[in-house]
Amino acid sequence: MSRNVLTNELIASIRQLKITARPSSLNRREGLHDSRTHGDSLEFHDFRGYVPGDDLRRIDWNIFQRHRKLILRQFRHFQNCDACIILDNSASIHFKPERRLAALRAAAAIGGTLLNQNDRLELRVGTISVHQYRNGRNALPEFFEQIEKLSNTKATPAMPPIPERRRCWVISDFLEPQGLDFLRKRLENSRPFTPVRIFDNEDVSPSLRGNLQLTDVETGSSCSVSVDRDVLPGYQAVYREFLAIIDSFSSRSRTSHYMINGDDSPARQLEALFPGGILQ
Amino acid sequence: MTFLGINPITAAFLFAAAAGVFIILHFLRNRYRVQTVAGIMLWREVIGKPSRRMLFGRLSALLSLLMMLLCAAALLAALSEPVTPGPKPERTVIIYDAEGADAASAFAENLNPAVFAVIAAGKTPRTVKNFNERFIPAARPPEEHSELSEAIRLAEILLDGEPNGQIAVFSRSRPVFDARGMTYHGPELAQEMPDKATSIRKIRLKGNAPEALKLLIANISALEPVDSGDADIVLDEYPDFTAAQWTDPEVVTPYLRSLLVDGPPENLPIVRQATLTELPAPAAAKTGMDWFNLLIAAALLFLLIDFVLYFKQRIP
Repeated sequence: MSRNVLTNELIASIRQLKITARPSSLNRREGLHDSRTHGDSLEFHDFRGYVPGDDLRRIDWNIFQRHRKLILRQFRHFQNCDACIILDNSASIHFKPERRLAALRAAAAIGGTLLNQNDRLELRVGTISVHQYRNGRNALPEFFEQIEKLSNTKATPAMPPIPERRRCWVISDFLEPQGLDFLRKRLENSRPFTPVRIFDNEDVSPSLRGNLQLTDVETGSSCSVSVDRDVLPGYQAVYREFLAIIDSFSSRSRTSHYMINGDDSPARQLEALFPGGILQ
Repeated sequence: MTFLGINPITAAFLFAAAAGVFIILHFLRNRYRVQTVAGIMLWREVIGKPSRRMLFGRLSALLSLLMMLLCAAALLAALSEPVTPGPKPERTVIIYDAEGADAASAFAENLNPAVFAVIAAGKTPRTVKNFNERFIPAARPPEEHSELSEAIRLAEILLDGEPNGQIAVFSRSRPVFDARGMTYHGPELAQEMPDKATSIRKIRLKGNAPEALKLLIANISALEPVDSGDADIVLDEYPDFTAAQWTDPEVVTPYLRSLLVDGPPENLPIVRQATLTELPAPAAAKTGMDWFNLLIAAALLFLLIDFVLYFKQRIP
């Protein structure tokens, strides 16, 4: 099968990535990725002093016998992550092939890493399809194949709802035709998720000039604007406001706002999503 | 106001055509090009928060059009060469011949006391009355062919470079003085007296004519001495004038003026002399064109600035 989205090199890179999970009160199934907390696995992690309230069963009595000090043994905790990736399949993502490929690569990187860590994964593509992968690493080939297939799908209008009680990544450009206020309200009322924003250089500093009737590729609605050097500072201010809205939402969701530039190389896109190879 | 250049109606038609072209160009320049983008969310916000600079940018297109229309109007106004009436003449010399006598008489009645002198044109022009008489009798000049150029030269001498002086000619004869570069504006006086004026010319003198003064003194040298109390030089002293004094208007003019004001003899003969043809031509006529040349230069400068600003705005 010819690959448009994922090269072998990229897949190999994805297999090296890690995602650290947050503790979840709902998922007790053990996964393979490292947790930021300490747990009850068999793998020793560290010692620490006893503080009232600690589980007495974790006290190392041999140390107590020798040194008369209450020291606790800590073990590594491996937590399972029941994750969901929501992939924006709107016309704005399809507007340029670079944006579409960047979105698919981001989905492949996050999903591939989760599956590699033996997590369960659900991939929702717009409102057209839901793909579930419950077999951890064994589902990786099937997942990557699905990503390749998605590169040929057509745009769909709406984003699916954010699922409840799952760790969720939303890969989108977050361009709401109804405006910034609509986006702000929508995010305020949304369940937490990790925003992975797809953009390109044209979004950051538009090269448009002159009197233009701009048409939204998604809705077909239009607005007239005279773009010159005096207008661009205003655009930059609005763009910063747009970023601040997503930043604010990601802070509330206790996560980060990831930004993937479609005009960057795949390696740089991966580095933007997994700085140092780890996505927290 | 009179127009020496293109007809005002023609100018209006040309302006309408130019305005049409400018308006079409304006709309072509500011037409909106359809451009599909990934999302208009951010652009809508930009439009929703217009800054002062953006507002100026929008207004500048309209100002640019207005500027171009002003430029076209200024250019056409300059081409029509409008001439506004100057200050009211303080002294007028009236020249008339047999055919213009009635009109001259009526004109003089209206113009008094600004009439400085009246010259009856004929084969030999002569002064009829001086300026301080209240009424000009319809003294009929000889019926023969009028030498208007001679009469006008005499009038020039009498006015002596008076800045607001004018010479009004009432005659059917076609004057020959236009070839010498003098300015004469018939229509103005014709409007004042449309029913009576047969052919009215007004001449505005430019500067002094020392050579003409010499000529006049030569012409009146044969007359009897006139006692002029205010004159610096009496007539019988003129042979003692030095060559420099002959050409110095400040010496000769007061003398001549005092002579004429205090009582120039009637039927003053003007001897035709060969030196008449050697008189220096007056300076070139000046019209209102100078102001409009400046206006055109300013308008073109504005146009240039406008285009520079336009392209500067569009360059990223």
